[in-house]
Amino acid sequence: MDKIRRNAGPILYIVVCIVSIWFFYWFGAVYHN
Amino acid sequence: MKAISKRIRAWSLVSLGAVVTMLVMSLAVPFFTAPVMADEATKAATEAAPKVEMAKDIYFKTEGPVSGNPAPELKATDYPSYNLPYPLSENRILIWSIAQQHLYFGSFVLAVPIFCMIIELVGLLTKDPVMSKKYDDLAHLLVKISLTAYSVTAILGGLLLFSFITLYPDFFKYISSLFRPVMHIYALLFLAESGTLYLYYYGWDRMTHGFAKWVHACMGVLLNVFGSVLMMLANSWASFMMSPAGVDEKGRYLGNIWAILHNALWNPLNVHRIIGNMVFGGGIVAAYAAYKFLAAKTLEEKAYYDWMGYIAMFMAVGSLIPLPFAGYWLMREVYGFRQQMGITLMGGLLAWLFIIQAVLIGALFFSTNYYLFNGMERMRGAEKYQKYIKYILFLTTAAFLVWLTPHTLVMRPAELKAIGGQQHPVIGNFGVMSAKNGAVNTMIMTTIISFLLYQRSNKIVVVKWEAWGNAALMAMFTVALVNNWWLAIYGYFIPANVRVGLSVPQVIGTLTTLFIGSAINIAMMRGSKLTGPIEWGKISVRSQYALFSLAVSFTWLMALMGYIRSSVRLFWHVMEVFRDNSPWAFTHTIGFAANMMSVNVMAFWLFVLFVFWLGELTSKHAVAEARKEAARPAMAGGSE
Repeated sequence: MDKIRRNAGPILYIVVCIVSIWFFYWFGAVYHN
Repeated sequence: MKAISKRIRAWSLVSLGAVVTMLVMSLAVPFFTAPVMADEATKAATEAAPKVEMAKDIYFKTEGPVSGNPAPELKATDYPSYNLPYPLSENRILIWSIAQQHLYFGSFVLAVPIFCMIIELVGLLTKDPVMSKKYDDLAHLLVKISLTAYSVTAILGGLLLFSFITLYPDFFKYISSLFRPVMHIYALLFLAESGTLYLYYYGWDRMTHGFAKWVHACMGVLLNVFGSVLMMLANSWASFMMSPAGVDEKGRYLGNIWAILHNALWNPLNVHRIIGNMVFGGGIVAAYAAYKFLAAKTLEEKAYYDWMGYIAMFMAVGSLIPLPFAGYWLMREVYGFRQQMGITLMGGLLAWLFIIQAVLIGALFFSTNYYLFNGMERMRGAEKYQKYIKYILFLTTAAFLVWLTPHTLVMRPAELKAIGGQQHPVIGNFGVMSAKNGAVNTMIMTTIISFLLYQRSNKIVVVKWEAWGNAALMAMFTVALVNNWWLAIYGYFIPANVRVGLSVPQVIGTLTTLFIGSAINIAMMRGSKLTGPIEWGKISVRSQYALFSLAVSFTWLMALMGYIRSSVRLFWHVMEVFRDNSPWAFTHTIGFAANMMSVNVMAFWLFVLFVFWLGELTSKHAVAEARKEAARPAMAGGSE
């Protein structure tokens, strides 16, 4: 738990990046009917 | 102290929350409007059930309920124009100039946050505190430069919108009826991006350490999400005009906005433009640094701006290498959508412009190699690699000459006779696409070789497997080049539809040399001895002009390719759906178009110099601070 708290910044950054990439996949690459 | 850091932490989280809320709100608009529209549709359906007409999507070939009016059939009198002297009497000339300037600035302000995001992250991950701060300050300086450009983009966007409404009222009414929710989301995202940009910029000095700094970096990522989505939405309007989808053959909307958005050329255009923006933005920042370098009075200033120019050039060229592949994909999809459109572009009316494009792309690669060769002067110990420059230059030049050889040209009879037919009997063979693919891959690989040599210039390799590493690099480049040339020759003996597929193994070879070659090179430099630090600022003045050449060539290239992309529609507003019946629905001569591009390029650079000058007025103090910092790592050896 302490380790997570210490690395909260990088973890948040990685989460934001993953969500952004998923968003572009959903928005750009998926065909919506 | 602890209370302050807690406050900053809370404040930064609130900011991030605000940014995310803006994103969610912007994108939630269609979900709020959809039920209302569905209710209307249900109501309409129950009142007049048999009246719902179904029609076939022009591109996806699916059935959909007709939900809009057909594209209008206009007359010449439907285009209100100003009574100005030619060529300003043509509405399209006004739109052309304003759209070009808007696109230039828009491209720049989309590219700068991408650089900031990367450079800020590099700063965060750099362990050396001096270098870390140096990167962070550079990212901060870049945002500062782009702030004025951001306002200019918005003003030009407003000007473009008013021009569309007043000069092409029927066209704009039709397009906005199709893209209604997209245009609203666009405007809201614009608001969200402005808010994020201001938080990002003004929060920079508040959020400097620990968790708050990472939150700040996250805002940089979200700023890019907003920017890229904005660009993708705007791209959908341009790509819809080239390759309509989501409407029937009369241009009636079929009720599915996603079908309009996901038209055939949307994604190729998105990818090509994002990469192109990065080359363009890198070129402008490099030109800014070159301008400052040439005006610098002290060695410290020269060192700082030399370093900045190098970083910007690195970003621009790093994006330039994949750009031809994205362009190839875009052209391939153009051919896939309408073969005739591809032929008009590359083998007909606009073919000469593609030859000019080839020359400009050659100029970009030559400028890059010239800059890297000159950059070796910063390092003692680079002499051992300078003897290879002439071979690299020879190979690049040979590839360049093949690259720009025309194939099918519109010629006068006298010219035909002089050449000896439609194609020259010998060099005409280099005019086909098979030779071009081989040539451009060769130019990219020679640039990669230049870069690998540059990286090694001030280092003595000490790893035990040095001979094996060098052999692996030599073998890899030899195999990739021979494979590339062999496939280029083999392409002459097989049908075109098979030949198109050969570009894949060629690209794989080039990308292998780029990624695996760089990885081997970096691994070989582990623990290497330095022959001396990189002496930033000790570089010829000529190299800085190479940076200008890179930036201006790319600006001209963007004007050229934008014109080609737009004029390939010929007499259609929306390809094969909405006809352009304006009095000026003819294609301009190549000479006139080229002059227009030059005027646009010059106007843009005058504008940019003004923006740089404004940035100077406000940031003299900050730059002086940055210079002090920049002087330190050059003394300490630098980790570059």
